[in-house]
Amino acid sequence: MDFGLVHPNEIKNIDFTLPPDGEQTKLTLSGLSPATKPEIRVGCSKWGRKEWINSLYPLKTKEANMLDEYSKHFNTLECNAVFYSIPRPDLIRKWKEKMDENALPGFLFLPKMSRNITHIARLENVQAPLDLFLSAIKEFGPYLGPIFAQIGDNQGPKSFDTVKSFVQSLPKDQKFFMEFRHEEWFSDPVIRKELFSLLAENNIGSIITDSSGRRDLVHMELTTPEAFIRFVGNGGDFVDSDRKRIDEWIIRIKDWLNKGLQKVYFITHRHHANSHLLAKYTIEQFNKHLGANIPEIVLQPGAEDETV
Amino acid sequence: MESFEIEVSHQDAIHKLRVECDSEDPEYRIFRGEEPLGTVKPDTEHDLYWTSEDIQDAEFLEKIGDRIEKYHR
Repeated sequence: MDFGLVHPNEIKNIDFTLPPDGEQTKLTLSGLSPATKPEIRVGCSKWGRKEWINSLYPLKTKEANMLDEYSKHFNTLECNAVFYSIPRPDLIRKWKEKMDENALPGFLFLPKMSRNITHIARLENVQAPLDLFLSAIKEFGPYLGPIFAQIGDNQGPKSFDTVKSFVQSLPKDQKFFMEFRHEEWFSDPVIRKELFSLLAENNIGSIITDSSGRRDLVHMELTTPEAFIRFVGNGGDFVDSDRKRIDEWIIRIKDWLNKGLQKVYFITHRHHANSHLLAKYTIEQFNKHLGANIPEIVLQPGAEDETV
Repeated sequence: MESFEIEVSHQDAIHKLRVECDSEDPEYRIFRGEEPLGTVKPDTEHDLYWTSEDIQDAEFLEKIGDRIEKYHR
């Protein structure tokens, strides 16, 4: 089952209202001044999309050139390709060189930590593969943004000590975010507090995932003054609903920026292929309401945008 | 071992498939019921381009890869 997917008939019954800020958010932003120049980035989770040819990418774009084209439009990318195996350093160097030639100013890759570390080894005895992963990923050079580790939905609070050891072992000279999926991390208030305190104490960000089928992951707990939001829209007949959800995020992010939030990474996902159109809308609205100052997406001549 | 179910809509049919992966090498074995359909593997050089020596229908392969990616999202 696609993560967070629900049957279309059920979507209209979902309350997409964003919950109030969590306790950790209040602690994290307490005493901060409004960011004078917040860094806001919007991107997608994949660049190798043939469906985007003649919409975002020029006609006849080859697969080998899709990353070049992607980086001309967006200032960040959630890099899931490195999740499937620990990447070769030469591959990362090759992608980095493409950025040297094409990328928008400030472009950052947001690599997803390899499943070998998170889902196969489940964070136990992972120093060697972690070192290998980090060594390869550092080849991104100036284009390396925060790395995020997703902890699978079958790894719950029983492994708190393992999570704690892992968090404490992460190098301090690299920014990390973590995403938790098991329901018990959020349902038990004591565990929830311990988890987000642990992340805050170690300067690890907490990912907020906004999808239809797992509203508990919209936890609204910021553990650092940086927000990483994975937004999963429904598309199709729900374009209007997706846009209203984005609009509500703008209100919340604006409030956080006023309270001292410094960086935002907003990644648009969809169950359909047109996440770039959702990102296009997001960038336009972020520019209008948050002063994001991101170049707006220009589609190929004749390409259709979404209508609501 | 990692094992999960995916549904792939292809040629007017919904294919309920089981996916298994039991190594650090992300080679996923695909089953329809007990029947093995073959293995698929991501070629990450071009982001996530799925390859298979067993599944020859390129569109079906692409849809299977897409479902695996979305399961892992």
